[in-house]
Amino acid sequence: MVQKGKGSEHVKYKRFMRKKFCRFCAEKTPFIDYKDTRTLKSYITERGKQLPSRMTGTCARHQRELTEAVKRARNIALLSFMEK
Amino acid sequence: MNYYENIVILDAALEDTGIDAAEKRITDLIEKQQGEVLKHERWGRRKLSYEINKHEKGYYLFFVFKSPPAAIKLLEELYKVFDPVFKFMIIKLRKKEIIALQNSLQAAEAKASAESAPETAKNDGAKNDAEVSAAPAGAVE
Ligand SMILES: [Zn+2]
Repeated sequence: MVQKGKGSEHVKYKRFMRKKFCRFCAEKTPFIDYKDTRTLKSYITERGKQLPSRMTGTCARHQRELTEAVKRARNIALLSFMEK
Repeated sequence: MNYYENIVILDAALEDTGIDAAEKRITDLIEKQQGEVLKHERWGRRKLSYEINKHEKGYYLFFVFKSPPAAIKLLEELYKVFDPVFKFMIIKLRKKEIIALQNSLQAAEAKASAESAPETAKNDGAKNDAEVSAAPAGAVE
């Protein structure tokens, strides 16, 4: 399913990888809170950019919710737009 | 009536009296519009993640309230002309957030009455007291 690398041989030799899962689905989070910057920070890079869901395993629904939460947190300066 | 969440960032140089006054002005406006403040918190002075209007720090106020939509327009108008406020954000809560809010309010109320109850639980007179004190506590918070 989630496969790193592009060559077709990688499909045969499945590298050992922990299966990614959506944390918010697993924990049944009722909603993602933009005020919870500690959680949000684990889904953004050091420079403040949001991580793609293919890296974090977040499902599409929660990735959308996460994006909104990050935007709100940035708006009110709880997170930065860009760390220099 | 809708549920809203509002963060206000005040000038960090403001004295405590100024913060009290700002907080009062905001809650007064909400209440005048038949709204009700359900929660208010002071997060205090924190460093902003980026500079806003040459401010590096700000004093964060956080409100959760119930009000008719018309109050929001008035609030926004107030913030635009109210000097100590240099940034604000008002968010309308959705169903799931409202449910979580109501649960947390109930839990807070239950905790408050549990704390005042134990020694007086058997005494009927005191029980009434606890009920009376529980109501305003819920309203203020
Ligand atoms: Zn999910």
